[in-house]
Amino acid sequence: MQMFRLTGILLLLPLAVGLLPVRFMEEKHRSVGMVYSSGWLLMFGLFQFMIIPFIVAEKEFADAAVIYSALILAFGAAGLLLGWKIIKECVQNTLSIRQADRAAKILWLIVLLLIAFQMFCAHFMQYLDGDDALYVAISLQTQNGDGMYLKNPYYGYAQGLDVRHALSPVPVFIAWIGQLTGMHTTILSHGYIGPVFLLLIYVIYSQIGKQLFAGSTKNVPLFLLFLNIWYLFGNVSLYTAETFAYTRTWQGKAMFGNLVVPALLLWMLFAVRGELKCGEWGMLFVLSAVAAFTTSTGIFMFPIFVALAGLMIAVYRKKLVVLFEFAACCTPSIVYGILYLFLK
Amino acid sequence: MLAEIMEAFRMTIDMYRDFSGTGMVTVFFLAALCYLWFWEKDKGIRVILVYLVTAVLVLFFFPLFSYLAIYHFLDNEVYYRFLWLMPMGVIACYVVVRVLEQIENGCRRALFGVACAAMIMVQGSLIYANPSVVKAENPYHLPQTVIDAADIIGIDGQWVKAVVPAEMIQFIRQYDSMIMMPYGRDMLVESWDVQGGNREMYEAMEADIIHAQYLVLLCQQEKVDYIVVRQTSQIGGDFEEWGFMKIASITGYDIYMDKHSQYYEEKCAELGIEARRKK
Repeated sequence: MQMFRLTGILLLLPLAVGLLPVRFMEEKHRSVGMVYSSGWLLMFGLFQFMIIPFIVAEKEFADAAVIYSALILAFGAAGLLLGWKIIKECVQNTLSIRQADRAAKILWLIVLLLIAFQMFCAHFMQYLDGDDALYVAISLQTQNGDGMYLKNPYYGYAQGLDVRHALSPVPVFIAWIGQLTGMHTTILSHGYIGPVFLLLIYVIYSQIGKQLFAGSTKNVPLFLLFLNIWYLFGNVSLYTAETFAYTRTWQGKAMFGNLVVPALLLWMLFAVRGELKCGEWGMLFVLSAVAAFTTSTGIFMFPIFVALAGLMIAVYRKKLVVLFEFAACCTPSIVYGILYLFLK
Repeated sequence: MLAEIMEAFRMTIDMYRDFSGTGMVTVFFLAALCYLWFWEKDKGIRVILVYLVTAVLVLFFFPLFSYLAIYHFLDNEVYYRFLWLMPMGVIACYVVVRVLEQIENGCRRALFGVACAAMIMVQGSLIYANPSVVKAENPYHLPQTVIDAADIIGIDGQWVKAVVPAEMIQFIRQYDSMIMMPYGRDMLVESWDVQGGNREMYEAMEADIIHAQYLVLLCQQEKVDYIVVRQTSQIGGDFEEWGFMKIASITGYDIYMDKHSQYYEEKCAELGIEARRKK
């Protein structure tokens, strides 16, 4: 039963939720990968919007979990209701790789095997990271009903609100999954979130590949193959995003470097080509909240990156309005930034 | 302020060096970026992968920006994450594929592809070759001895307090968050401020010779229920003489419990040993 629920949350729920924004995206962006990645990002963003008031007001996690569950189910239902028409289109766009030549198919097979191998290793291999003493313990404390960021995870003593970490509630999100599945959050973080987020990372990169090599069926799997090698051999220091991707996948900072930044890059590629419809704009807004959701560093880095990108895209496309549109999408970062400084 | 700006710049250089680590992977990225500067024709991709990424790189090293970031809105421990805004892997792999595309001879193309992959592999470092990445001992991905100790220490639905050796500190509360500790991970990272942990007790536990009477005194002040001691530790005196009774042994460790703890008899009954409160 636990595994049944977990599969539902980690695989099916993001697909249902993701249909909602993808329904309002450019037709050529619609694919199963885009639905899955948008679904996760929307789940993260909605969690951030909903949970922060509960955390700041020091309310009960159990109440917040019930409300979020209802909210996300409503979004899932809305996604299915409004997006059922595009399911076939998404599947067809994804299966278009079947029309690729034999070499491309072999490349795709190698890429998929490599990703499956990495997921397998993430499930069956361990890396004892010191920061888990904070993040994973926070998840467990939250799951056990000890409030959100109100106990020192190192000692277990009561403390005032831990502002530095409280505005980036990835551990609380994992506690929510733990609450629904009844699984111990440490098993969940290390054994299941890690592999699934690795898959998600490559799903986002595959969308980037499609943007970079539009029209080329062979180049996308080739790009992903080299990217797999780059990631697998990216453990050149403790500080690279690649190292974080394998050793701390479930920690917010790893998610920032490996999910938010690639997603942001993808959205900037959409923007520079003028391929932003209602769905893409909405997701850029959500992405700003997701950056804060993952790490407090993201609260500051997201607007800096978007401002730089906005400036360049505005000049390139000779449309000053882009700057204002991008600034509007940074609203969540700005709000959380102000809140962070205020609470600090 | 000028001195601080220079200091921030020096820290930035050190950070980049630490980030680059071993091998030439960041050099590949810079070479790929240079390639794109000269040869990328798609203007949209040029804006994002060339101009934007270069701007991020310049901003990272720009002394005034790094000063503001390090001293005001981030700190020197996380500023390196700014480098994550540059998609190094995307740029390097994009360039490799673009170059491959231009090689018409299939054999040469395959050779170039293999050479590029080999260069990344030789100059990079395989994550699974990292000695710290090992087969998981259990579904929790935690050391089994920690779980064994926590299973003995924990009491369903009750808060207990334990002092444990340094190698267990980081993990025990990931398994059971109802086990409280008088000191935590902040003892292990010298550059951190102590967040309220009992340094005196930590030093008493990690001393070459653990003085039983002194450690017990500190534990009684903190109302500690358990002491977990390495079997290899030298102990001056006897914990049992001062009220902490040995209740269990696991691989490499002995577990002592305060006989005045409110859970002592319950735990003894659970473990099937005789409570020695009156001894």
